[in-house]
Amino acid sequence: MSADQRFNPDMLRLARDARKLTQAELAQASGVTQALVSKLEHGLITEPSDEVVTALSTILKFPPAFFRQQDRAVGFPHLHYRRRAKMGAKELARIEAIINIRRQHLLKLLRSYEQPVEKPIPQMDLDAVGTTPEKVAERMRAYWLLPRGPVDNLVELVERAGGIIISTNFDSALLDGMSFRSEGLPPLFFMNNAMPGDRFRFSLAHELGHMVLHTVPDDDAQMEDQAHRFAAEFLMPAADIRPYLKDAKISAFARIKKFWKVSIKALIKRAYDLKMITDHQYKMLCIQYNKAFKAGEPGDVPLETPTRLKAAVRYHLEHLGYTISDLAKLLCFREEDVSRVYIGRPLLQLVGSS
Amino acid sequence: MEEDLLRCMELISPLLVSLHDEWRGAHQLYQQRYPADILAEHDESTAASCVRAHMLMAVMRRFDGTDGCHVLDINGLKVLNYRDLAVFRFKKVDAAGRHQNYQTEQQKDFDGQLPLPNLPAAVRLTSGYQLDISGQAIERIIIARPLGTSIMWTAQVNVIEDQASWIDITPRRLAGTERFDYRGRAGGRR
Repeated sequence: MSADQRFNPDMLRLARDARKLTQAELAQASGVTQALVSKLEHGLITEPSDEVVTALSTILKFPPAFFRQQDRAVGFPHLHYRRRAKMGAKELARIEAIINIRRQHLLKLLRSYEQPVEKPIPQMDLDAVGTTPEKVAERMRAYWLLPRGPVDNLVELVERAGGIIISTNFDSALLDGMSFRSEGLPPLFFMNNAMPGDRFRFSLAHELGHMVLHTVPDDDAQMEDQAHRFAAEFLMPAADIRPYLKDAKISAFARIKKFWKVSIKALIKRAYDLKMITDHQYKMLCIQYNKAFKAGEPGDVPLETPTRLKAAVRYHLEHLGYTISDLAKLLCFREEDVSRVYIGRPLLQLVGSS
Repeated sequence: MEEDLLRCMELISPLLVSLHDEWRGAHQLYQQRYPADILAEHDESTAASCVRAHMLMAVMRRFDGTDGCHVLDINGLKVLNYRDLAVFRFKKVDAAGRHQNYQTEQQKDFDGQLPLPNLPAAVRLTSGYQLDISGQAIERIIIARPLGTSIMWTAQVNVIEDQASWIDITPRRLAGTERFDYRGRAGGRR
C-alpha cells in the first residue's frame, strides 16, 4: 500500500469524536475489539483489513476513503471559542472534530475556487500599536468604509473581506462560534445558526475581534473582554448609538433593537459600558430582563446567510462539471451528507415498489 | 362602584369587539409598517401618539356616523360619542387604566366627569391599551372610568372568537389607604 493510502489514525479519531462514541462503544457497534480500535488510533496498526475499515466506516458513517486521507487534525486554541462554560469536553471534542472535517473540505473546495478580496481582514497587535479594542473597531469601520450607524449585513461584510463563514447547527446551544486562521485557507468562522439573528451577529463580530486582535494566545479573560469590546464598538459605535440609549427602559431598548440589529441585552450592556446608566439601573434592568424574557427576546432580527461556501460548491457543480458523486469522492464524504450539508437538501432516493 | 362598572360595560358592550380589534390593528400597523430607523428615533410618547392617531382614524372609518357613533373634535379633544350615553378618549394606559400625559384644563374636566361645552352629559370613559414590558406587544385592552386624576374602575376587555367579555381589574385598596391610592391627588385641582 502506498504512503498516500495508509490508514490515518487522526481520521479515525475525528470520525469517532464526530459521532460522539467512545472507543468501547465503537468497538462494540462495529464488531471489532477495543484493543484494535485503540491500536489503530495510536498508529500501532497501520494497515487494517478491508473488512475492519468497512465495519468502522459503516458505524461512523464515513466512506472508507475518509480514513485514508493524509491530512492531520488540528487542535484549536481555546481563545477562539465563544462558548458557555458548562460545555463538556466530549461535546467540545465532537464539535472540534466536525470543524476539522469541514476545514479539510474547504481546503479541497477552495483549491479550484477563488474569489478576489479587496480589503482582507487585518491583524493588529494591541500592545504593539498601543491602542484599545474600541479604537481598532473604529479603524476597521473606517478601513471598510462603513457608513455611520448600524452594520447592515455583517456576514456579507466579513465575506467580502475574504472570510469564510460556515453557518451550521452544532446540535448544541453551548457554542456560539469559533474562528481561526489555518494554513492555505482564508480566516474561517464556524457559527452556530441555532440562535437568534441578533446573537449570531454579535458572536460573529466577537469572532472577528479575535481574528483581528489575537494572533498569539494571551490571558483568556482578557482576550474575551477585548473581543467583546471590539464587537460592541464595531456594531454599536459609541458616537452613533449614544442618542439612542438615553431612555433607560427595557421598552426603549426593544424599540431600537430592530434598527441596530443587536439584542436588548447587548444594548443594556452597551448603555452600562458607556456609563449612560448607573450600577443600580443596570442591575434593575438585568432583573427585569431576566424576568420578562425567559423564553427569548421579542423582535426577531433575521439570521444573516453566508453565500461564499455555497458559491464554491455551486462553482464545482455548474462550472467544473462535478456531480454530487464526484464531490462526495473529492471530500471523502457520503453523497447524502454532501447533499444535506452543502447543497442544502436531502438526496432524493428512488424507492422501489414491490 | 360595582354597579357603575356593570352599568357602563353593559351600555358599551356593542363596541367592545371593535375597540379591541382596532387597538390591536393600530398597534400592529405602528410596529410593522414603520421603518426600523424611524421607530428607533421615537420615544414612548411619540410611539403612543402614533398608535393613537392610527386608532382615531380606524375608529372614524369604522364608527363615524353609523350606529349612533360620532367622532367629535372639541378644541382638539378627539372623542367618540356613543349615542350620547358614553364618550371615549383614546389613550395608552398603565395596568390601572391611568394615562400619563400632561393634561389641559379641558382634558381635566373630561376626566373629572364635568360638563364640557358641545359634549353630551354622558359617561366619560378611557379606551386604552397597556403594553408589555418590551413595549412591543399589547398586554391588555382596557376600559377605564377616570375620576379626576384617579380611576373609579378599570375593566380588561377580552375577545375570543369575536365574542367580547370583560373582567374587573380595578386595583384593590387596603382599608384606610384610599386617600393614598390616587396618583397626584394632593396636587390636583379637585
